[in-house]
Amino acid sequence: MTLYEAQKGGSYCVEGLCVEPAITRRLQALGLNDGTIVNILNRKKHGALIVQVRGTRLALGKHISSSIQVSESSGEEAGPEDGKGLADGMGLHGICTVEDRILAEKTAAEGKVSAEGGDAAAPDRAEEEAPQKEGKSRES
Amino acid sequence: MNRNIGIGGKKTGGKERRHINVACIGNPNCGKTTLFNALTGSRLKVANWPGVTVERMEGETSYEDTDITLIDTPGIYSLTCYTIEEKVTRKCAMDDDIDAIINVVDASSLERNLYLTLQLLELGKPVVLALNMMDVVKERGMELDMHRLPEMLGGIPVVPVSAARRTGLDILLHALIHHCEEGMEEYILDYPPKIEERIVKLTALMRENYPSHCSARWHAIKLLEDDEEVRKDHPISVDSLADRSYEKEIIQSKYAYIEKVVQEILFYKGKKAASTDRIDRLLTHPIWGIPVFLLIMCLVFFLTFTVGDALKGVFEIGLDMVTEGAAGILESMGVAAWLKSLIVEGIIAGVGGILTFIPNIFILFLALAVLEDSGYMARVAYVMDSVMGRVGLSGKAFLPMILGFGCTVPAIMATRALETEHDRRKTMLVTPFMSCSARLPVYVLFSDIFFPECPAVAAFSMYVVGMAIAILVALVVNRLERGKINDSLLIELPEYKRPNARTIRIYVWNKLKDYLSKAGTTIFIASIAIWLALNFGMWGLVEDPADSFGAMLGRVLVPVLAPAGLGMWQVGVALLSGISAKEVVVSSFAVLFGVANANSEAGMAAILENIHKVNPAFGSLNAYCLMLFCLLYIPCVATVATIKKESGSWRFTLGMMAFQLLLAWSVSTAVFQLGSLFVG
Repeated sequence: MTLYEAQKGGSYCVEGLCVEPAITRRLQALGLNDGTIVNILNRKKHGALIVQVRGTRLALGKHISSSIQVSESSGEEAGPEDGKGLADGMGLHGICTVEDRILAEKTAAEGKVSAEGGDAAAPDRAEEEAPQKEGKSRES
Repeated sequence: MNRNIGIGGKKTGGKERRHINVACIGNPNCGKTTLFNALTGSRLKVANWPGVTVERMEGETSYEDTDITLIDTPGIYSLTCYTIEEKVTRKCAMDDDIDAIINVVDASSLERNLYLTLQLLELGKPVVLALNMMDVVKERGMELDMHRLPEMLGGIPVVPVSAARRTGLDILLHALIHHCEEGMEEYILDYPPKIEERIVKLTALMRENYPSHCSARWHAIKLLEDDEEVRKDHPISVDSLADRSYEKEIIQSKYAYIEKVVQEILFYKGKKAASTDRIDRLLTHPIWGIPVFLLIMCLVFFLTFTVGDALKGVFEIGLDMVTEGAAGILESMGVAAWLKSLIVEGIIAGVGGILTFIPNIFILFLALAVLEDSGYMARVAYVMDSVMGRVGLSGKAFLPMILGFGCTVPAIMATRALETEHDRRKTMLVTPFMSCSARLPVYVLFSDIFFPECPAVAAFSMYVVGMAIAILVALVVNRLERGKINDSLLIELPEYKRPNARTIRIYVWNKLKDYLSKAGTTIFIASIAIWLALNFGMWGLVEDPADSFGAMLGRVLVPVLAPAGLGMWQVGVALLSGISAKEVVVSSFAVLFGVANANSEAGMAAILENIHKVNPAFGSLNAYCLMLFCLLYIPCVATVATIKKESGSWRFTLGMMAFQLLLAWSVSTAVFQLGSLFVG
C-alpha cells in the first residue's frame, strides 16, 4: 500500500520511494528511508497529510504520499525483512529507533490522557487506540 | 556591535590579530539566524517556520585575539542541491574561504539534524556543534549524554547553547577558536565494506587529481552518490568505481549510524506529551482548518483597523501642532508664500498624513509577527494545500503570499524557497495582489470617508478580493498552461511556541523603521514632486491647480479612467504618483486639496467636500472602485525592481505590469458598471 492510503493515527514502515529523483533525495535527507517508521498524525480526506518521522512533523502532498510504499508496522516484525535490501555487513539494526519508541510511548500517554478526560471526542479516541497498543507491545 | 571578551581585544600587545571566516550551517528553523543575531548583534529577521532566511548574510564578532566574520546561511537538510537557497548554502560550506563551520543543531530533533552534521564532518573542515533548543529537550523530559555525543562524532566540540536566551555563546566561540587550530579527522563512520572500498580508492584518485582540495573524502562520497555538480566540476574518469549511484546505501548507512548515536546518547524519562499535537487537532483539522485560518486573518485585520484607529488620535494632535507651529514660524519669518505652501501644503501634508497611519501599521505587523513566530505559518501551507493544489501551486507557495500582507518586497524574495522556476514565477505574479501594508492607508482613508457605517468591513473586503483574485489568476494561468494539479507539498511543521518578545520587537521595529524611512525618502520626494507638478504650469507658478502640469497629465488619463468611475484628473495624478509607493495615493490627495491631516475628521471632511466640488457624483461606489484599482494596479517601484532582480527577466516584469494595469482597469470598470445598475 502507499502512505496516501494510510489511516490517521496509524503507524507504518516505509518500504520504498518511487517519486522524482529530486524529491526522493529530499525525502531521504529528511530521514524517510526503507525501514523508517512513520506515524500519521493528521490527514485530509483527499489530500495532504501530516506525518511524524524521526521526531519531526512533515506535511506531505498527495503526489508525494501516494508514491511512498509502506506496510503496516507492528513493532518487531518489520525489522529484519526490511534490512535485506541494504548492502552487506550493514543492515539496519533494529528498525525501531529510540525516537520511535519515545513517540509510541508519548502517543500512548496521550491516549490515556484523552481516555481519562472522558469528554474527549469519540472518534479521536478510537484513532489513538492503535498507537497505544503498539507502544505497549514495543515496551515489552 | 563587537563583542570583545576577556583580556583579549585590540590591545593584545605584540600579538597579531587573527581573522577567520565561519559559516553557520544547519537545518531550516533550527535557530541559525537567532544565534547569528546573538553573536554579532545584528537584527536579522527570525521567525518560527522553515525558510525565513533566503540569503547569505555576514556579520562581525571577535573573541580574544581573533576577529570572526560570521556568515548566516539559509537552512538545509543535506548538502545535496534542491532549491535556490540550498545551493547558496552548499556553495558557502564548500567555499575555500570558510575556515570553520558552526553546525547549529536543534537538539529536540537530533536524529534528523545529525544527518547534515555527518555530511559536514566529511567535508573535513573544522566543525563545532552548537546544540540549540536545549530547553525544549528538557521540557520534553529528555536528557542527552554530552560525553558520548562528541565521542561518536569524531571528537568535535559539542556546546549546548540557547540562542534566544544568549547562553553558552562564549563557550561556543572559545571552542571554535581552539578547534580551528587542531584540525579535523575526516573519518567518522564506516560504510559497508563494498562502499568503503570504493570511497578509499576514489579519495586517492581525488587527492591525485586535485591535491589542493581539503575534502577529498567528501568529494569521493559525492561522486559515488552521482552528484551532478561534483561530477561536472571534477571530470575524472571514475566509471569503474562509481558504476551506478550508491546514494541510497550511503544515506542509509548514515541514518543507521545516527540511530546508533541517538540510541546511546538520548534518554527519555517520559514526562510531558507534546502540546503541539493537541493544538494541531484544531488548527489543521480537515474541515475546520480553512475557516480557522480565515478567522485568524479576519482577526488580524479587524485589530489593525479598530485598535489602529483608536490610537491615531494621539498622532493627529501631534501633527496638528507641527502644522500650526510650522505655519506660525514661517509666517513670522516672513518667507515667500510659495515656500510656505511647499512646506505646509506639500511636505507636511504629504509626509505627515502618512505618519498618522503608524498605529495601523504597527498593529498589523505586530499581529503578523506573532503569527510568524508561533509556528502557525507552516500549517497554513498544509491547510491551504488543497486550494493551492487546484491552481497548480503547492501549499508552500502560500507562505510568500501571506508575507505579502506585510510587504511585497520580502514576499517576492521568499519565493526562493519554492522548488521550480515555474512555481516561483507564478507565485511572483500573484503575490502583489495580496494587499500590502502600504495600501492600508488608502483603504483606511477612503473607507472612513465613504463607508462611515462599516469602514472595517469595506477595508477588509479588499483583502478578501485580493486573495480571491490571486487564486483566480493562478487558476487561469494553470488552465492556459494545461497544468496539472500540483500536490507535491513537502514542508516541515515546527513545534508551536510562545512568541519571543525580543523577536517580535526586532520584527516590528524593523518594519516601522522601513515605513519611517520610506516616509522620509520616497514619500518626501514624491510629495515635493506632486506639489511642484500641481503648482507649475506652462506659464510658471499657477494659481489654480487645474492649470498645472499635473492636471494636464491627469486629464490625459480621464477618458481611460472614466468607465471605472474614476474620471477625475485628480485621481489620475494620485494613481500615477502612487506607483512610487502606494501610500503616495493618500499623500497626493492631501497635497491636491491642501489638507494638512488627511487622516483626521476635519481632513476627511475637507477631502470629501473638495471631491464633491469637482465631481458631485463621486460616491461610495466610485471610492470602492478607487480602492480596487489601488489594490490591483502596478505595485510600487521597489516591488517591480525586486521582481526584475528575482526573475532576471525584463520581459516577465514588463508583461506582469501590463497585465496588472489591464486587470485593475477591467475589474474596477466591471464593478462600477454593474454597481451603477443597482445604485442607480
